[in-house]
Amino acid sequence: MTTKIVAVTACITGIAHTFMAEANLKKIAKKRGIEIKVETQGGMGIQNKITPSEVAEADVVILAIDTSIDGRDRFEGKPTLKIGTSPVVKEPEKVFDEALDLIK
Amino acid sequence: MNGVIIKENLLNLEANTKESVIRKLAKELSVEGIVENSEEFVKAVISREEEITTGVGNGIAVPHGKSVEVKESTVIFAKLKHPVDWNSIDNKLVDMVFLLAISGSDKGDNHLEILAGLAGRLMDEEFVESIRKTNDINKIMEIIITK
Repeated sequence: MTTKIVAVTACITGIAHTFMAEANLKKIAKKRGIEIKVETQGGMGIQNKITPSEVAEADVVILAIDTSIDGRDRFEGKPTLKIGTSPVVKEPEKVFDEALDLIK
Repeated sequence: MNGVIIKENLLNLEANTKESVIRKLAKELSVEGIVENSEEFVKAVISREEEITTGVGNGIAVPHGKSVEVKESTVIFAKLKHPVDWNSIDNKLVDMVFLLAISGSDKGDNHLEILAGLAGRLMDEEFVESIRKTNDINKIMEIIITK
């Protein structure tokens, strides 16, 4: 069974780190054969919104956020890694390792 | 105007420190009418830089600032004549800088998409190399705005 991850990225300025983190999450997921959906909450609003059924199917949630986000309660009850966008830009492999560790 | 500024005089920019690079690019933005008061804008950029470095590796820096001084969201690009220390996450010197000026108004503007698309692709080494290899303004513009 392929591992499934849902993630949200949101930085303060809403452009640079939000989208750099998104790009890195997708890059590493592709490299590891992991399915990922990344929602961005940035300067252009919410894009690629994660649905309740996508949350239900996910094995773990990554919240790469430097600020509060819309709809955080969608992820309640799911193993969740909450970190800033910077670690995702800087060391995305390590972030993935940490997230995968949460899957029991 | 499509939100991307690339000028001949910025493809060989002389500057010794990251603050100097930021100031010079902010000044160009002021000359282009993008930023009203470049001092305020510079403060916003430097303050963001102090929170966390925008030297994201691969010789690139993405300094950025959101300010009411910014008339419309714009990215201004520079190649540095001499690589500069940017406290990068991979400890390498920076030779290409993309300064993002983000408009303070809550309404999104069309240029944000270009800036966002650019930010994402900066994580891709091939994308970065394709810009590093050429000094042709039109080519660089094409690379930056094409999805």
